This record gives sequence, structure tokens and C-alpha cells, in this order.
Amino acid sequence: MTRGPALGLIVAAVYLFLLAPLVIVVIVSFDPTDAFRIPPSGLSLRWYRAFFASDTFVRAFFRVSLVVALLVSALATLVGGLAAVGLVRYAFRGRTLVEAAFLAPIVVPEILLGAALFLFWSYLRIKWTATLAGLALGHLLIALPYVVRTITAGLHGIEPALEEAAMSLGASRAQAFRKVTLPLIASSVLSGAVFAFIISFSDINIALFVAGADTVTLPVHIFSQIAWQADPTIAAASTLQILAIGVLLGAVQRAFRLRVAM
Amino acid sequence: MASLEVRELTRRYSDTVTVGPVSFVAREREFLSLLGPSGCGKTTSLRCIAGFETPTSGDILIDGRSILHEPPHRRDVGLVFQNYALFPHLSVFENVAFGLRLRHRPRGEIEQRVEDALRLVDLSGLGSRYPRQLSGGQQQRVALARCLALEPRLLLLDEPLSNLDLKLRLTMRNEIRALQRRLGKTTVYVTHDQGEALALSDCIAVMSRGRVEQIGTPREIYEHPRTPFVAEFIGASNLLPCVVEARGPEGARLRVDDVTLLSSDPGPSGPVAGGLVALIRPERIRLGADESSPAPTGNRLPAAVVGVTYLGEDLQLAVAVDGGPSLTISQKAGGRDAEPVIGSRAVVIIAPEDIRILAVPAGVPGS
Amino acid sequence: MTPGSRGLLGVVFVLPGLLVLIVALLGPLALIAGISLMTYSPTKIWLPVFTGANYARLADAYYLGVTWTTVKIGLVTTGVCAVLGWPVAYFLARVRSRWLGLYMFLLVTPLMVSSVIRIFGWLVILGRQGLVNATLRGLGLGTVELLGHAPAVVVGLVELLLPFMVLPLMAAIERVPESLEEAARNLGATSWQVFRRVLLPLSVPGLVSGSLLVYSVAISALVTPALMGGRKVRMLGNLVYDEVLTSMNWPFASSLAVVLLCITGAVMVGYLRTMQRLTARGGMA
Repeated sequence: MTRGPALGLIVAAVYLFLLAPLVIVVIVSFDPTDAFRIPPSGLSLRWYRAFFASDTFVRAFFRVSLVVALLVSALATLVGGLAAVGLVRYAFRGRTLVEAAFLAPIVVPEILLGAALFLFWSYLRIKWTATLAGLALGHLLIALPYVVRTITAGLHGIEPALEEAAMSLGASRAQAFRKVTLPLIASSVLSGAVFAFIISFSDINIALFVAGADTVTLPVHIFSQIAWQADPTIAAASTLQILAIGVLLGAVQRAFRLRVAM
Repeated sequence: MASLEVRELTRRYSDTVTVGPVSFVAREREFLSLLGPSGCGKTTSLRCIAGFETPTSGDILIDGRSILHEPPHRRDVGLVFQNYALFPHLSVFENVAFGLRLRHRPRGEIEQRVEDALRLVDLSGLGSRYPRQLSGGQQQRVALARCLALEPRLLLLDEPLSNLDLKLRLTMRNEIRALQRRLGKTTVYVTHDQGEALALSDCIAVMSRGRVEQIGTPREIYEHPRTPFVAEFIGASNLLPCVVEARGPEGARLRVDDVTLLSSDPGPSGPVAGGLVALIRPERIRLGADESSPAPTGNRLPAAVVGVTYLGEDLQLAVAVDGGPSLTISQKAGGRDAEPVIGSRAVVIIAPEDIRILAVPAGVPGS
Repeated sequence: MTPGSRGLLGVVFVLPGLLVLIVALLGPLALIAGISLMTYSPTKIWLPVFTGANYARLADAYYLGVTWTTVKIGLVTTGVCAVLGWPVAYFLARVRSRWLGLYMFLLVTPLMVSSVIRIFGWLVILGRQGLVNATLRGLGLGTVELLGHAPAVVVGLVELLLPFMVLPLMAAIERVPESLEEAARNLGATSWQVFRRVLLPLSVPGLVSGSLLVYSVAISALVTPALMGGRKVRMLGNLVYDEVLTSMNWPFASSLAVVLLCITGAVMVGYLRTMQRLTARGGMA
């Protein structure tokens, strides 16, 4: 076939390129010096201690990013799940239009969404630009399409005959949904929730516009730190984020053998 | 045209799954079928010849020269795939011209050869269509034309008719055979359909579980099967476990249950690990009304008719021999003899030449 | 499916989501469209006086230059992603090893990690005090300015967006039966010929999808050019950011946004369409 050692080498090289920055960041985070060397001059948790000692970093990670991400995950799953059920299980006029509408946020570049939100709230003089709620709403917006699509796909995979069978055995519509459909789409719902979390946790483009002095997310803080000074504490913070996201993704992939629905 | 020899071909997939050693020969201009159930290794053997699988050991020779080291795109053997594998983005003409274009033939030659190939398979004029606009049968012919345009020295066909419906299969079958005879191409044909193999082949290699059970002409395979598997796979059969009581050059006397039969086949000599079975083809058994019906000397067994199935052209009878086995008998329906009635008594008449004795391979569950 | 009056219940279900869309998407975008036509005021930011001046200003040489840089970087990024991504997509589509899950994981995880982190990694590698320069200095070859110009931005964007190209391409290649490759080989094609005459044409829908996606994200980049391009490489995204948060010239920022939105919107709609066609119809005969 067109397969052979040549293809393997090329693919390995591309993967190396793809993962290089992340790998370097992780390695550098363990180097006690700030000299950015490979191989690192030693192994140390110095920068991790610095991370936990830094009020701004800790606040950004735990009291802003994490909180918002959890909030967004819950909200997106709820709102998106409801929408998905409405779209798949009910027929109403304009349904295709609504379905397309939920894809709309993907069409708009994230920076424009962020800028637009910022301008909108400033115009309305709503003090949301510097609040967690504002951030959450922005993230909810970009997470919603993925959640809706994932859960919709999961619902499509279930034949309506199953719910009908449950009802013929005496279950009400709601019971049938709870006892039959819900367990079957559990994997889609869970993966939607995880993706929503990750999207919110790693977002930078919306947060750059919408975050205020009190609501600096981890990525925004990293951004400002990079522009300011290349401190290896950034590497520690970054590695922690990579770890969190990697573990979440790995768990989801392991448990449900899912692929990212683009 | 070329001759093909597959010699002790083995393809090992894992510790438990191995195909081979397999050996067979397709002489010049010969139509050889590899016949067997799915998983028997026939497609693997074909793909080894085409070069898409590498044998673990053994050799493949064309005209006496080994082709093992040659990559698939240089072997000059035409392969017709089961799902046709037509290029959807190319027209019929371009599909058939594909190989010619790769060889940088001049335009005039390509046009001529494509036209000839399409005419051979009766698709002239469809050159500008696309595969998705064609029926299954037509697509199959394009696949065939695409190979033939290159005039390969060997033609390989991998169950090409299995995706077609019955009527079409029969028509295409005849066309393929006629085409092969006309072109005189050495052909290896893989199929699980024994009717196809019998109708098309000069020579059949019956395969099972990665091995060749028997090679021979259709007649040999049908009338002189060497193993119970071959007997059962080709045509219908009664396979009766038996014990040989006496054996001589003229034949053998054997016992099936409490009944004694005479066979002109002495059977395999020496001890047989798995036991013996007697093979009697259903259409060779005659049914007489009672003791007095005229019949040649031979085995005459009183029996009762237990079941009658009407199949249109044939009648299939289930008959229980007194103190003996149950037999299936096949007769032409609407014959001069009155149709047997369930529950009636009759006499089963079997000529000694129609009884074969086969050895059951050790480790194989009895039939 | 429950049609008729029960359908109304469906409307209730989608309502919360629609509300979010209206409040967070439609309203703000409508506002932007509106503000783009308003006059800028240094004191009150914008005055309710209609003007086309903001759009007219876009025709200025400087802004045209930035637009051209953006389009160029977008195209180059897309091209490089296509070239690098095709072999990976083919590999992932055809490989039958049990490590496929791992390969996919390694492909998708970088996507999910914040772009700032990946750019930080590049800064460590390419910066003046970074790995490459440290090695060069060690070899006595001095320092090379690897950041601060367009190729650096392209490198950052390619690394960021490669998975976006690989995933749709992989879907497209998976739909090409392997027997087609074998048939081509059987007819005499070398590996390169199989690629050029069979695989490439049949993977075009995937290429188109991936290219549209990569292009539209590339041209709206902000963080990558800001951190890896420095002063010399300014893209439309940088302009929007500056005008909104630094210069506070919201009318002009809005007009920039509208232009960017039109370009990206058109491209993304095209992407969604081709993806739909890719996953809906059979594709093959």
C-alpha cells in the first residue's frame, strides 16, 4: 500500500511538531532554573510551589476558571440537552431553522463574540463585563453548539420504538424518557458536559474582552504574564491545565470511546 | 497465456489462524476455481497471488518464475474485486483506460483498446457514464473490461457475482465462461457457490479451513469425492457412518446400523482414525414399490416413506430403512412412477457402484 | 416524532437555548452592525449620527495592508496544514492498530488546551533566550531572531489548527474503500500514482472542509500574532482588540468586526455545507 516506513516517519514528525510546544512546556516546568534548557538542569517543583504561592495564579485557576467552567458545564448541558430533546423529539414549524441557529456561534470568530459581548454590555451599562456571570454567558454561547450537536447525535442513535415499547408496558412519556432514553444517551450527555467544561476552561478569546480585573481567568493571566515576563511559573500553571484537560479527555475517551464531532 | 503454480503457500495470521500449506496449478488457458465456505482461505490465496498479502512461506510461480518478490503493481495479473472497486470520480472510459494511461500509451491506442474491451463485455457506448449511473451487472462488466484492457497474463476473480441477484448471476456466469474461452485466459476464480464452480471450471480446488481438500475436474469432484467435506459441499449427499466387514478387490461389504450393503468401492485400506462413512447421492437411489419390482442385483432394502417434499422439478423423499438409516432420495417429479405416499412401504434399491466409502479425518466431528 | 400540538412542547424545550442565542449573540451582533455606522467621539465613544466614515477608513492603505497580511497568513497556514495534515489523515484513516485511540487522543488534546499555552511553548522554543537560540549559541552561531515576523505566526497557527484539517480529511479518506487503492495498484499504479489519481481526488471534500475551517479560524487569530508576531505582524484580530480596548474607538472597531465577520461567515457557512454533504450522502458509487 501507500503505507510503509516513509509514511510512518512523516506522521511521526508531524505529531512531534504538533506536540512539541506542550511537551516543552511540561519539561520546562520541572526545571529549577529559569534558563529554558533541554535537557533541564534538574528536576524540581519550585515553580509549582511558586504557582500555589502566587495569589493571582491560584485565584485565576481555582476561583475564576474552574468555577466558571463548572458553571458553564452544568448550564450548557441543561440548556443544550433540553434544546436537543426539543429538536429531535418534537416537530414544529421552523425546526430546521432553529437547528441551524444553534450552530450559528461556530460561524462567528470567537474574538468577535467577545468584542460584541463587551460592547453590548457596555452599551446597556450592564455591569457584567467584569463578573463571573458575564464570563459564563460568553462561554455558554460558544459551548452550546457542541453540546446540542453531541446530544442530538446521541438521540438520533436511539430508535423511537424503544420509548414506545416502554409506554406500551405502562410507562408515562416522562418515565419512558427517564428510564429508557436518558440512560442510553448518558454517554453523549457526559461527553457534552466535559467538552463544555474544557471549552470554558481553555478559552482565551472571549475572556480577553470580557474578563475584568477581578475575574481574570487562567489563560488571560498567562497571556498577560507572557507579555510581561517569561516566568517559568507560567509553565507550571500551563502544565496543570494540560494535566486537567488531558485527564478529562482521556477519561471520556476511555469510558465511551468517543471521537470529537466537528 | 501463462501457467500458474502455487506451491505450499502458507499465510500465518496468528498462532491459531493459518492458511495453508496450499498447492494448486492452473495450466495455460485453464479456468480454475477455488471453492469453499467463507474463511477457508480461498480469498487469502488469491490476494497472495495478486500481491496484496505476503505469504509466510511457500512460493507462487508464473510460467515457472517466482513472482513473490514483485510488488503488486508490477505483477501483470488482473484482479476483479468482489465490490468491483470502480473509481467513482472517473467515467467508465477513464476507468477502463486507467492502467493504459499509467503506462503512457499513445492516445489512439488507448481509445482503441478501451473500445475493444468495452465491446468484449457488451458495454459499447457507455464510456461517458459514471459508475453510480450503472446497474450492478454493468459495473461488474466495467471491472472486467478494466482488467482485460491491459491484456494481463493471468485473470483473478474474487467472488465477482456474489453481489448480483440470482437471474443476473446465471446470465453473467455464462458470459464470463464464454469470454474466458474466447480469450483463452488462464483464470483463477474464487467462489463459495458450488453450482458456479461446477458450471464454469475446467478444474476445481475445494478448500476448507485453510487447506485444499481435493483438486479435480467437476466430474471427478462430484462423482469421486475424497473426503466427507467435499462430498457434502458439492451436491447433496447421504453420509452414513459405517463399518467395513469384509473387503476384496471387487469391493466391500459394509454394515450401516443393522443393514448390510455391498459396494464396489473397496474403500481406504489400513486403519482410519476417524471412522468411515458411506456416501450415496440422493438421485442415485431408486425406490421400488415392493419386493417384486424389477431391478438389477444390488442392495434391496425394505423401507417406509416418511416424508415427501415437492420442489417443482424434483421430489425430495425422506425414507426410513427397516433397521437401518434414514435416507434422502431425489426424484424427478411428474415421472411415470406414481408419487409415493407418506406412510407407504417401498423398497430402496442402491447399485453397488453408487456407494463410495470415505474416511473421516481425525478430529472432525462425524457427519 | 410527535407532530401537531405536542410539537409546541418542543418549542418550550428549545426556548432557553434560543434565549441565550438572542441575548448573547444576536443582540450584540446587531449592536455592532449598528455602531459601525455611528460617529466616533473621543468623549462619549460614539454619537448616534449615521456615517459611513468607519467603513471608508478601511480603504486606507494601512488597513488594506493589514487585511492583506491577514488573508496571506490565512492562505499560507491553510496550505501548510493541508500538506502536513494529509499524510496524518491518511494514516489515521487506514491504520488498524489498537493504538488508534492513543493517536486520536494525542491529536485532539492539543486542540483542547488553551492556545496561550501552546504559544508559550513556541516562545520557549523560538525565543531569543529559547531552546533553538541556546543551541545555536552553544555551537557558536550566534542568535537568530525567530519571532516577530510572519513565518513565526504561520508556525504558531499551523500547530494550532492542524487537527482541524486532519479530522474532516480523515472522515473523507475513510469513505474511500481500500479496494480502490488495491485496484489501482493491480492496474500498475505506484504509491505516488495511487495518491495522485485516486486518493487525492476522492479526498477533496475533506480537503475543502478542513481548509475552510482552518482558514476562517486563522484569519480571526488574535493571540498568536500578538505573542509571536510582535509589532511587525498585525492581523485584523489585533486591530479589533486594540480599537475596542485600547483606543476605545468602538464605531471603527465595529466596522472592522463586521468586515471580518462577513469574510469568516461566508467561509464557515461553506464549511458547514461541505461537512453536511460529506456525512450525509454516500459519496461513493
